[in-house]
Amino acid sequence: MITRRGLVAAGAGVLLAGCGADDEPVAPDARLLAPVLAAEAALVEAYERVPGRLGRALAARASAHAERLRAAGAAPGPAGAATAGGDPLEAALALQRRSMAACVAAVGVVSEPARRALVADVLTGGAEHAAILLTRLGRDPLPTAFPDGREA
Amino acid sequence: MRPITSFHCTKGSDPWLHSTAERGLTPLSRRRALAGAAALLLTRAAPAAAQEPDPAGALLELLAREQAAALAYRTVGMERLAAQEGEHVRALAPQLESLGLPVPFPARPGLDGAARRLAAAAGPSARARAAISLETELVRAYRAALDRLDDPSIIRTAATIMAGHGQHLVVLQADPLDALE
Repeated sequence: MITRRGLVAAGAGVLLAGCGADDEPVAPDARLLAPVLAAEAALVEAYERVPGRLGRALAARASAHAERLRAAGAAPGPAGAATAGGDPLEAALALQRRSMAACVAAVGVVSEPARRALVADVLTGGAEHAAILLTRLGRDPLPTAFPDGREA
Repeated sequence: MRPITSFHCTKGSDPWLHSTAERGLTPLSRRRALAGAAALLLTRAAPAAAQEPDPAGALLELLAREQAAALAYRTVGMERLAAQEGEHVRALAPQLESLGLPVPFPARPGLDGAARRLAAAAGPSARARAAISLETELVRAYRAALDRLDDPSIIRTAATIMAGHGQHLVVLQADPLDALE
C-alpha cells in the first residue's frame, strides 16, 4: 500500500535525485540526510572559530552529529554550506539555524525509524546549541517554543 | 505554593488552560476523559506494539505530558516555560483532531512522575533539578513517539517540540554547557 509518507519521500527523492551529479543509485534516505550532514560538517568549522571551551564543546558535538549521520548512510552533502565570515558566534548561529531547517525538512520524510530518530536528535542538539549561542550573545535563548531554524 | 489537586482551573487563573473553545480544544466530557484515559492505558499496556504506527496513542500520551508539564511549571511560578508547554499543547491538539479524535482535557487526570515532583519542589535549586528531570523525560517521550507516528506533518511537529524541550534543558542549567553532557 502506498502511504502518504511514501509518496512524500518518493517525491522528495525524485527532486533531490534530479539535483545529483552521480550516476550511482543512492537510497532516498541517504539523499534526504545529505543536507543535514553538509550543515553539520560546516558547523564543525564554524564552532572551531568560536574561542574557548564553548567552541570546543560545540565543535565536538557537531562532529559527533556528522559521524552519526555518515554511519547512518548519509550521502555527502551539497556544497554551499561554507562558514560565513564575521562574528564567530553570529556566523555559527546562522549555520546552526540552517542545519535545524534541514533537519525539519528531512525528519518528516526519512523512512527508516532509526534515521528519523537520529535527525530528531540532531535537531534537538541544534536547538540546544542555538539556545547557548543566544545566551552568549545576550539575547533571549527561548525565542520560540518551536525551534525549527527560522528566526523567531 | 499552590497545591495540585486537579487540572481544573478557574477562568483567569491560567490563560492557556481556560476557554478551551477559543483554542480549538474540546471541553472535557466524562466519556471523552474515559476514552483518553483508556487510550493511554492501552498505550502503556502494549510495549511490544510500540514500533507499530499508533499516532492517536502517541499524540494522546504527548498531550497528557505537555498538559501536566504546563500545569507543574505554572504551579511553581515558572511562567515562561509554562507558556511554551501551553504552546506545545495547542500545537498537538489540531494534530489529534486531524485524526478525527477529540482533544481530551485533561488527557490524564492529575499529575504523575516528573511533573508531580516539579509541582512539589520547594526552592530554586530543587525546582531546577525537578524541571531538568521533567524536560529530560519529555525529550525521551517525543523520541520514543516518533516511531509511532506516520504522517510527515505530525512527525515534524513532534520533532520540533522535542527540540523545544532541548532548549529548555539549556536554560535550566546553571552552566548551559552541562546540558550537552
